[in-house]
Parts: sequence; C-alpha cells; structure tokens
Amino acid sequence: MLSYALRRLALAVPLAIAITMLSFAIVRWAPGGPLASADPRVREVDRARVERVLGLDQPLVSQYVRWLRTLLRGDLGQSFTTGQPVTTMIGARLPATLELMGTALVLSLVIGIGLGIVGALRPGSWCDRGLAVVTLAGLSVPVFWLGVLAILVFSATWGWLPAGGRATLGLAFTWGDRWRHLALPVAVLTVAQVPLWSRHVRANLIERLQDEHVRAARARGISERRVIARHGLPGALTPLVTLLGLQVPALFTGAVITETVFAWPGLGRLFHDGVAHFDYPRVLGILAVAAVLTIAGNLAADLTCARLDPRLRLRAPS
Amino acid sequence: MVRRRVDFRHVGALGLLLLLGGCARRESPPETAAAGPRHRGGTLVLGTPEEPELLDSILMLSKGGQLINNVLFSRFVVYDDSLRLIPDLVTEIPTLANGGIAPDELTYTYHLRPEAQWHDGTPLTSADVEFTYRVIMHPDAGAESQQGWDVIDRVDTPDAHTIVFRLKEAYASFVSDTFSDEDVLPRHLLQDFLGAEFRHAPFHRAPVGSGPFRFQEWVAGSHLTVTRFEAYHGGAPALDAITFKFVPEASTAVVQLQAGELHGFDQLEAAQMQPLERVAGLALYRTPSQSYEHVDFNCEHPFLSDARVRRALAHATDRVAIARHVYDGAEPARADQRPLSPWYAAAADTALRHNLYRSRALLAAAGWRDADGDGIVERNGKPLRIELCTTAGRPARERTIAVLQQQWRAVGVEVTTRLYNPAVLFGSPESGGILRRGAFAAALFGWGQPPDPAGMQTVYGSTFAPPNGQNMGRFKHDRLDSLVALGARVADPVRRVPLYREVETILLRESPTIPLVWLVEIDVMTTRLHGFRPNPQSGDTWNAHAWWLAPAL
Repeated sequence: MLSYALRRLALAVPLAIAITMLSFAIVRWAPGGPLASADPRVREVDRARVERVLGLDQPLVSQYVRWLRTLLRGDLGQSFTTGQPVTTMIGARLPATLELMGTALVLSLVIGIGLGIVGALRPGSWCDRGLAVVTLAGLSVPVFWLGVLAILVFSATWGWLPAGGRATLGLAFTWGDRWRHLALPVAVLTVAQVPLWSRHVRANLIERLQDEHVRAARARGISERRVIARHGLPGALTPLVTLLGLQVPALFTGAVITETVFAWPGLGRLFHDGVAHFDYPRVLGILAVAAVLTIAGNLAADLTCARLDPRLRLRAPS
Repeated sequence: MVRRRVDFRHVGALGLLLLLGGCARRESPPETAAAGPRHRGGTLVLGTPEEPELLDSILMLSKGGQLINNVLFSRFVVYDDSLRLIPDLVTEIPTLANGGIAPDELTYTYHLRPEAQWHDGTPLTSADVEFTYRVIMHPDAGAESQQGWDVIDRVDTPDAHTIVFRLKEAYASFVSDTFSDEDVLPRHLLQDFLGAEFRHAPFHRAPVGSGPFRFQEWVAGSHLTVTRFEAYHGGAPALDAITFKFVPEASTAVVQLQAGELHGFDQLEAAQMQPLERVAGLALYRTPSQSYEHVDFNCEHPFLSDARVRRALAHATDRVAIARHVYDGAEPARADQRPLSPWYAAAADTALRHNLYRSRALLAAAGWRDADGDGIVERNGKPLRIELCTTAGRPARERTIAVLQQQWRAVGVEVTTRLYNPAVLFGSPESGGILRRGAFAAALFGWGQPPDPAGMQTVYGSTFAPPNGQNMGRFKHDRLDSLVALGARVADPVRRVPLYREVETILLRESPTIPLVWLVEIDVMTTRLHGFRPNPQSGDTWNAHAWWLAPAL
C-alpha cells in the first residue's frame, strides 16, 4: 500500500508543475491585461510605468520562473489590484465558500444516495421513471435561471427568505439568520448536484445486485434489507469515492454563478473578479491551489478505493 | 478682461445647468421645501454592482471605488452636478482674477481650509499635499496616471495651509486635473510606505480620510460601512452611517430594493427599471452622463482616408432614430460636446444632419458610383465595403451596428459587422488590441468626455496615435494639431473658447468620428432620502454630507 501511495505521489509532482505551466500560459496569453480596465485615456508612458512596477515588462519565462519560485515557498504572491497577499484574500473568503459548498455537498450526497437506492430497488417502475425525470431536470436547468427563479418566488413573492448575502446587515450573528441566508443558494446547488450522485448510485446498485455473491446471499435466505445494506451498497458506493475526490476542489473554488446570483461572498466571486480585472497573481494562485487539491483529492480517492478494493492495488502499474 | 471671464463662466455653468435640468427625466418628485426640517440620524444602505479593489484613488485602475472614496476622502476641487468646479479642501479655486494663478500661468497657489482634519484628529496640512504629490510621482509607487503632475517643477509649502505649485510649462487644465480625481493622503500614516511598498499598505483597505464619513468596516464580498465624521470641514453630515452593499447581480438587487433591504442602487441597468417603476417609496433618476457612443473611422483605411466618404457616412446615419429606438430615448449626440457646453460649435446643429441626398452626392464627388446596379457603389471596380466592429456583450452596441449596417446600405455602402471581446478591442498593441494596432475600418465604442477639453489633444492630435495617445483613427490635421496644442496650454477660458469651437468645426468637416448618442445613468433611491443629486462626473456620493433620511412612517 505504501509503495502504491509513493508511486502515485511521484506521478503527482510533474503533473502539478505541468498544470502550473499550462494555467500560466493560458492566463497570460489571454488578450487584455491589468490595465485593460483603466481609464482608456491613460497615456502609454503611464501604462508602461505601471507595467514595470507590476513586473509585466519582464519576459514571460522569467515571470513564470519567479512566480513558481514564490509558489514553491508556499507564497501565492500579491494581488495586482488590491496589493494584498493572495493567501490573505483567499483566507478571508474561504469560510463562506466552505460553508456554502460543504452544506450543499452533504445535502446532495444524502438526497442523491437515497434517491439512487429508491430508483435501483424498483428499476423501470413509475417511481424510478419519475425520479429520472426530476433528476434530469435538475441536471439540465441552468443554475443561473434556477437561482433567479428561487429569488423571485421565495424572496420577492412570498418574502420567506433573503434575496442574497450571508447575513442580515446590522444584526448580530445568529445561526438562524445564517441558515436563512444559506437556504436558497444551498437549495439551488443541491438541485444541480443531486442527479450526479443519484444516477451513479442507481446504476451501480442495480449492477451490484446482479452479482453472484449477492445472489448467493439471497439463496442463503438473508433478508432483502440486509442483502442490500451489507452486500449491495458497499460495492455500489465505492465508485462514489472517486467522484467525491473530484468534488474536493469545488469545496475550495466555490460556485461562481451561484455566488454571483446570491451575492455570496465566496471564493468563486473572488476568482471571477480576479479574471475580470486581469489580476494574474490572484487567478493563478487560486488555480494553483485548485490544481493541488484536485490532484490530492484524486490521490486520496485512489488510495481509499485501493484500501476498499485490494484488486486495484494489485492491478496498479509499477 | 476680468468681467468677460466671469461672465463666460456664469454663462457656461448656466448653460450646463439648463442642459442637465432639461434632459434629466427625473421620475421622483423634485426636492422641495415641503420635505421638512433636516433630520439627523439613520443608516442608508446603498447597493452597488462593483466592489472596489482597494480604497485609493491614486492606484485605482478602475472607477469602482469612486462612490466610496467620495465619502471617505477630500480633494481640492469637485465637479458639482451642473459640471461646475467647486472648492472642497481649498478655500477658493485659483484663477487669474483672484491671483491664485500667476500672470505667466506657471504658478498656482492654493489655500487649504484650516479646519480640515483627518479622521484620527490630526490636522490636514500642506505637508500632506506635498507628500501625496511625491507618492504620485514616485516611479515605483504605481500611480495609475502622472498626467498633469509631471508638469510640476516644484512644490512649495510656505505655511501649513498654503501650497504653491510651480510648473515647467503652461498646462491649461491644471486646476481641474489636480486633486480632482486624486485624494489627498495622510503623510503621518503613509510616510513609511513611500515607494514600492505603497501598493501593499494596509491603509488602502482601512483608510483614515478627511471626508464626511469615516471608515468603519469592510467585509470582503459583502459590504462596507462608513460612519459620520463630526469634525468634517464641510459640516457634520446628517446620516449616522452609510452601508455600501455589493450586489453583483442586477435581478437580485431589484428584489432587495423591493423588499426594502436596499434603500437605493447606483447605476441600474435599463432593463431593471420597469419592475421598480411602480414600487412605492422608490424614485428613479435618469441623468445624462458625459459618456457618449460614437463610430471612429480609421483614417488610414484606403476607402476611409477620404473625408468626403466619412462625411457621407455621417449624413447617412440617423442618430435620432438610434437614440430613440436603441437607447431608450437618450439624447442624440451631434458633436463630442453637449450643445450648451462652451466648447460646442453652433455649426453642429445642422452640419451632419441625416440627409441621404447629401450623402450620395458626397460619395459621387469622391468617385463612388453604382455602375453595375447592384445597390453597392464602386470605384475603379472595387465595391465600397467596410467592416464595422464593436464590443461583444453590450446588446445596445450590437443592435446599433446592425442599424448602421442598414442605414449605410441605403447609400450603397456594404457593411460587415464584427464583435470583439472588450479586452481584444481595447487591448495594448502587444496583446493584439484591435484599436491600438489600427486593425479596423470603423469601430463603435464609447468615450467619457471630461468637462475640460484639453484631453482632445490626445484623442485627435496627429502625434497621439497609439502608443502615444488615444487617436485610434490615426486622424491627421495640421490646423487642428496647432489648435489643440495651444488650447492645452492657455489657462484663460475666454481665450480657449474660439480655439475649441474651431476644433469642433474641423471635426464636423473632416468627420474622423460620428458621435451617436449621450448615455444616461440610471439610479434608484428611496424617496426618504433628501439632498440626493446624481452626478455621473464625480460619482453620486459627491454631496453625501448634505444627504438626510426622513424617518420611516
């Protein structure tokens, strides 16, 4: 197991460096620049001076090397537009993003797995078809549209929930107020994420219930509930670990559209604003952390799967 | 001499006042004496779509922070809502008449208001002003622009409240440029950050200013709150506090306005007006801005280098129809100056009227005729075919180029249209910028017209084609060059008027650009707020010290 983990880790390092190179190239070759949003009448001599101060007058390769060096020291650099360390900016927004994305993830997992099991137990039934329609609708409806609709119905028409923000201005913090502000964005994200889990659980569980060891368990007279819980579900949920690993970076990067619609002060908006202002250190810093989390999430998922299923360890290439 | 100058200033200001008053479609009831006595107290929650990146007007690369900086900081001068320059931190605006400007127009003397102080109680003195100048001019501080500051030869501070700027050369817009965009900074809090460290000073996220409100808190991505500064040199504001709430999505802002979570919203999109029109307690303000949409021609283009062709296209353009149908009844732009601006040339009233007959005649005079009867004019066998581009993602612009395509087709000009990402259209030459590389035939975009016309030199002067300036169309005209160069040096407004009126006349005749429409800024505000006077030039919070909120019924 240890050698398997070390092998995966050795592969992850060049992958991370390749990702940083690729993201640096894409971000820097995109048309525009930090002065694109400046007053168009700013003179060329002033543009050149500001570019020199920001280090943009250096060749791209030396800019990349300099950025990578600071990155390897654990420093994400300093924002062009705010002058703050990027880590400070991320730190200020991280709690809001974890709160939103974490709640939505837990909720969508619980609901998704439940709906997946219900569908798998009676495949082809009216209940299964109904769930398929509902989950497909959730997958197909744009989050932006759903968010605006939710605001119109629950905030504008019925006035039950606030239209945006993380807290009521001027009020001391209470969990009740926080949950009221979380309700709509979490609901919208959950509707979008439930189909991902439910469709996988349904398909995996139907397949697992056809396995020989499950049929053998049934032949031994074990109750159906016990068969599903002990012999079907563990096998059906193992592939979800990989999917869960892929969701880890989303916990960090947030949801740009949902955060924008609901004015949620998370990392998604921080990244979006960084792109809009061509704040290279901020954009590259968030991308780098997301890349590392993606690799780490994958690695953790693989190791967990290998632990749960020894066949994967044995089949792994040396 | 003095009398004429004073008269001119009054006429100009009155004209602009009339203009703004006449054009503003203010849906709210006008401010009246019936509003009752000024009420002290209350917190105003004002929504804004853009969160500032930092609170420093010197480093700021976008205008997102102007709304908030206005209430935190003070400047020498401010443009009021009738585009009149009024003193803020200084006792009076220097002129030749009051001796503030020396007869050689190279020395400017300002006197600070002695009662001005920083929010921490430290007096605001000429040392702060001199320090701010050093920050702006420091090569490593990263000030967005040094224009207007780099003509200063020396700054003297003979006493705590007097500052004397001695210039290297005459600079006509020195008074309107100096400390009208940039805030004065506190030396005692920032002197350790002079240089490359200035950009990273924590001050920019929790500033100590000298404006009517003091900084209280900034919750990133959520809101920023300022509270009343009792010792403000313009008199303590009536409001206890203002909270600026950052709401990036317009439809969310509309719901928050309807629910009363927001008292007002700065710069609403036109499409969001309709649901708010019938909301009790909210007033909508439509204010003409100093920004106008226009088509720039590339004067080096083989077809468009002929002024007759450019003028023919101007005559083929029905800007009244565009203003009415595309821009929701905004004011058509006959020139790049508003009709009652002192710089406006009367000839613009009629010079480029929509006139298809005149347009066809000009094309024919330039040798363009429809010889093969296909509806497109040709010269030497080549059809008059040009590409008109604009920015993607702006529906009004996309509709406008479609309308222009039809209007110009009526006189036999075939137009293809193209949309560019704004970063591509406006980018630097190195990053492939279309305008700055001159890689276009005709382009639709917007300019903000500063009240002072000195900047026209960098927009139309021959030597100001990119990368030296913003003459995107590579327009060249010797007489105009000398006029704008002279206008940028002469401080006496009376002497400047004929210069710029002639410039305007040349622009009409040569038509390197077709002004189309003056844009309108839309704001919404609770009717409980009194003293609100929208000001697209200085930002709507320019007079927040005079606002007061009537108690809720």
